[in-house]
Amino acid sequence: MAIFAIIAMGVGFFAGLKVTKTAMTATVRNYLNGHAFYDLRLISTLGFDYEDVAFLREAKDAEAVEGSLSFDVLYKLEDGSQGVIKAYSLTNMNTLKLVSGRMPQRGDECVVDSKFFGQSAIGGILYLSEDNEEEDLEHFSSSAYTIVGTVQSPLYLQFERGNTSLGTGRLDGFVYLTENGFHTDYFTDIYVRFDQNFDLYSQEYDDFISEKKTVWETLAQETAQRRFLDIRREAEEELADARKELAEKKAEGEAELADARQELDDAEREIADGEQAIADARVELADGERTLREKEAELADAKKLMAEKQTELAEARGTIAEKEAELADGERALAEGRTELESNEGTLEAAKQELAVNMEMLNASEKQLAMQAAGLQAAAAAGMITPEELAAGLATIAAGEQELATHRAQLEGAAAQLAEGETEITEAWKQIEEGERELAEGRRLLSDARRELADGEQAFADAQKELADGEIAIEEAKEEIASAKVTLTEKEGELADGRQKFADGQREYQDALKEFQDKIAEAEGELTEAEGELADLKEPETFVLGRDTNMGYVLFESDSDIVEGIANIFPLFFFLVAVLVCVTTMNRMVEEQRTQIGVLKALGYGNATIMSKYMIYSGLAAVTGCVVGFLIGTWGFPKVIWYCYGIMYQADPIFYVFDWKLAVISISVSLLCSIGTTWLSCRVELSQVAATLMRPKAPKAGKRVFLEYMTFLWKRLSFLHKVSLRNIFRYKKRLFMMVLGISGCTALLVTGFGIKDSIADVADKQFLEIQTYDIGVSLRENADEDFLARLDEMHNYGLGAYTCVMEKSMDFVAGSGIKSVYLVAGRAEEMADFLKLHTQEGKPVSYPDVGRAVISDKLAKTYRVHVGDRIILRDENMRTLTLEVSGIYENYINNYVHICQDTWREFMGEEPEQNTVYLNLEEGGTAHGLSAELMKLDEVANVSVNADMMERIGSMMASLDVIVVVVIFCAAGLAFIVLYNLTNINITERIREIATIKVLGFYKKETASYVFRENVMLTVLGTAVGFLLGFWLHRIVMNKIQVDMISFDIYIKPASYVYSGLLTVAFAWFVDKVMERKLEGISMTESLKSVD
Amino acid sequence: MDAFVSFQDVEKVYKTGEVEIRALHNVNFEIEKGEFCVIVGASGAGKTTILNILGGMDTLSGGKVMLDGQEISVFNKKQLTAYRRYDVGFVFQFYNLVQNLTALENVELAAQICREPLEAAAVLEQVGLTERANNFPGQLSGGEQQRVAIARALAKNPKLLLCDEPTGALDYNTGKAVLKLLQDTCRVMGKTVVVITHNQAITAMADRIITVKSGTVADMVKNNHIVDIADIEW
Repeated sequence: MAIFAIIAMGVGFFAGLKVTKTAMTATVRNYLNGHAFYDLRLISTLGFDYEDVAFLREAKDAEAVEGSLSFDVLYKLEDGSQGVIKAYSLTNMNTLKLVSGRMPQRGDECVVDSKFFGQSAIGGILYLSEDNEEEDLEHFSSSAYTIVGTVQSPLYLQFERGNTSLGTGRLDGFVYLTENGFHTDYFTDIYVRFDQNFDLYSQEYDDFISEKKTVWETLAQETAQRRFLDIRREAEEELADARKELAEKKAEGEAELADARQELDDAEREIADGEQAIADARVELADGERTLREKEAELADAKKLMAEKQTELAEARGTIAEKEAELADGERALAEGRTELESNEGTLEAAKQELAVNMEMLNASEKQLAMQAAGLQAAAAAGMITPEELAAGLATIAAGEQELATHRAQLEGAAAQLAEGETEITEAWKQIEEGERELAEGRRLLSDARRELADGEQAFADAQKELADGEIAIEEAKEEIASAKVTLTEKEGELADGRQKFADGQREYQDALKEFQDKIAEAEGELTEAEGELADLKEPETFVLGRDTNMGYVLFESDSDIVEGIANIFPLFFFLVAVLVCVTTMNRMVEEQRTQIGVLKALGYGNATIMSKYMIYSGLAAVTGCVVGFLIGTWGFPKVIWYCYGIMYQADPIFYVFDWKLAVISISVSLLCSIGTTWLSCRVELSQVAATLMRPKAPKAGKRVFLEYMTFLWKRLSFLHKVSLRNIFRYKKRLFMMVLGISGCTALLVTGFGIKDSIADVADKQFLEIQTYDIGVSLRENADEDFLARLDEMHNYGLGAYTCVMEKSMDFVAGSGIKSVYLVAGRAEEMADFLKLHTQEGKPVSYPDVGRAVISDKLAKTYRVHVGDRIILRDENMRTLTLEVSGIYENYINNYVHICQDTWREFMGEEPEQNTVYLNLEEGGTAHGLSAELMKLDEVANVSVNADMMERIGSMMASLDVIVVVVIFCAAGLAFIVLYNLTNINITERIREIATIKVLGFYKKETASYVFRENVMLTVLGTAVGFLLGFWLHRIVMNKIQVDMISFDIYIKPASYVYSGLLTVAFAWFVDKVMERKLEGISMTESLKSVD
Repeated sequence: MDAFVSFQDVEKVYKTGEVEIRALHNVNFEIEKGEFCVIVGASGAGKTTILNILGGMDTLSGGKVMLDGQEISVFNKKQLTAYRRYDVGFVFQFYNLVQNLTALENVELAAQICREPLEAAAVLEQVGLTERANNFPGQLSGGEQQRVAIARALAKNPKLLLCDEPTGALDYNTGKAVLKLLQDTCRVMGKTVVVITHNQAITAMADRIITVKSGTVADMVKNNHIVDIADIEW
């Protein structure tokens, strides 16, 4: 049974791992053949046309020749995400595997990469981004394609989609369009397929293809040449046409321009006229306004005058009224005067009469008085009267006389007055007459004045009327002026418009002229350019590429090589162990059967017969084990590994490969193991005589182990440890096997983890410890001031420090060959932030000074260059540069030679071209944000973000986990089988001893530790040996899977040792746990009874 | 006073598939402390089964086994182990020494797990093997090996010494010497010794003779005429 298990296991591992590569390649071959994968891919710098394809199809031995299109293009999805995608045309070669949906039928339909787009993409629309260059978009017939399905393409076996010069520089995936989806008259590629069925990556295939390649290279060159000539002829014709057209267009354009000029001139003149007219109108208007103003002033004066006149008239009227009143008064006064006069005259008459009366009376009175005076005197004299009465009578007569005298005087006065009155009256009359005359005069004057007044009033009324008229006229004039002004403004507006139009026209004209000139210049430029191009049109270059340029194809090879490398080494272990297990098992079996052999021998069976019994037994076990192991191994291993690789590769499910050769090897080796070991064991036993055989073999005597002679040490050991140690050394074979098995297990684990450590850390080490800059930017041209200035603006996007270097591919000339390396010439004082040069041991390597170089360790190792040696570098112009190696630094990806820029200057006599910029991010800056900005700069050719590189390499390295898991399983299986088998044998052999121990009253744990202490010791020993073995195995495996560009860091992390050790111990512990139950089951009574 | 060892209606049934084999039934006997007891019977009579049960190596199907007031028949595995460890010493027909240990070490092996072990070297001296102490079992004769086995059992200082055909693999004289040793042990050290044998002759030297026949105790007698081993012939 043990033989069966170990053989099954050994064969399973061996055959399984061995067949995995075959199965993988067979599966991929089948997949590729099934999808008509190309054998050769023809590319020409000029492309190919239908005739070329037809020509090639006719020409040779190909099974199929087909033209195909592929363009990189920026795309955008409905959700706004964008990226770069490679668009292919659907062909009958490299056919697709439809994952979901359907194939496109119309020009505006497409199928997309199932790896990048999920099934949900179906029905969506893929837009070609507007950011695309015009000429890139020209290749497509539409700008939006409906996604109708998702597919896998044999061109992309692996998940890696490749690089592009567009956008982020990384292709997201591919899209397939029908040929109608493109708008081209040529093909970019021609795929050729031969009728062959060689194994993938086989030498036969390589030979076959390289032979074909030579033939097809000539063919391709011929075809391209023909196309080149066609194109040149066509182009020349086209160019001539274009020239003619240009001339025509130019004439036409010029004529048009002249017309336009003419029009413009007319317009200009018109505008000038218009301006003149407006100016005149304005002058007139100004005159009119001035006149109006004068008139208004006049009117105002007239009004004032009128007002004066009115006052005057009013005064005159007043005067007249006064005069009339005066006149009337005069008349009345005259009339009164007259009446007075008349009454005065009457009075005068009366006065005269009175006077006359009075005179008479007076005269009468005087006579009386004189009679009286005479009577008195007579009286007196008569002395009738006294004297006194005479005197008084005489005085009274005197008074009376006096009075009469006054009277008289008065009368006389009155008479004088009267006379005066009369004169006065006459005079008054005269005066009245005069007054009447005067009055009449006044009346005449008055009526004159009245007449005058009437005249004046008339005149005033007239004037007033005139004034009103004038006012009306002025109003009218004002209105007129206002309207004239409006008109003028309108006109002016019109004129302004006209002028504007004119200006526009002129500008237009200028623009048109400029445009025309530009266009002409451009066209001429284009023509010259085209001519130049035509002249420059190089003989087309063609490339005939084999499958080895398809990334998926190549990566698959290296991956399957890794599997093979492992398959070549690991199973050896298993076989070795299987042999050992067989030996011990058979030994054990034969020993157990010793008595039986003796009996058989005694009964007279021949040696051969007896031996054949055991051989058949072990052979059967081996054969069944082999068959089972082979079937399970070859079925299971490829499946598991393929499943894991399926994460990266797309292909059909793996198919079962039955490798006869392998089967024969497996079976013969396993038979050899089992039967051979049986034979060996049997031979020893059979050589003895029957009698000896029938007696139980004396148990192997106890022996002192060498350690016991070191008494000082031995004494210190506990009693039970001594037992274990003795036991360990008692059975040398078992010790050896156990140690080998366990060390094998540990070694496998160490190797497994080590492979991971060595490979997985490469990217991390390269980009975290050596090339510590965050972004590398390669430029189309020298980094000039202008570019650096623009770069400085990027600080907003998180750009930290940067430095310009020259990166240049050079040939490293060594005695034993030429190797392409990267020369990096940096500024010594700036490089420290971007590049950490150090040795493998971590000691820093200083940046080289003038005339010296620091080289990567792989280069140094491969060409055995040491510090102080001279190395020679050669550029494409065969100029050489001889440098002294000042240091060798740790490096994993690519080969580098570092020098300082001064070295270049001094040795090459020219300024180093600053074609690469190393950038560091500032805290918080995102590499992608910055790289997107950088890509926008014209000078930038490519931006590579180291974090991306790390991630990309990291994801590639993820496949190594698969290997590690496989290895761990192998190791576990190995450990389990070996430990189980040996412990089992150990227990069986010592069953009496164990039973005794148990009888003596050892507890379960004590018994277990009594037995397993050996296992523990051996596990420890085996693990220790395993570390050494693993270290060595790891080196072998790593050397097997060495890749040119990458130098793996052959290095195992201490943690890996720890894990390996722990896992080994865990396996051992597990086995012990299982065996412990077996110990428990040992019946004391049974085992002690038996005699053996 | 209760007997040191007592079997009461002990049954033992082995089941092998469908078949039930009654190895013991109705076994009743007692052994006093310090007795030299011989259990005698034909092959397959059930002697060894009794010994195994008494020694805590096997369980019983029915009945009760008492030793020194403890009921062994109800012990669980661990208790049985402890019982073997501290209370019982075994001597087997085929010695069952650990091949990889010297005579002394074999004794020590047993001694080191006990509570009150006897000095290994002293015990070896007792059995007369001092000069062979550093020899491996393979280098010793059968008798010597059996003496080592007895020494190993004694070193544990057990309450009960069980011997399964201790002379079975030995020649006459050696067997006698071994029996003598056992008898002396019993007499001198006051141990209770149970010896299983098919040799009727040996019964003569025993204090108590238990005869087993087809799985049950046929006879149990106290020997009143103890003969010294030297005088027994067979």
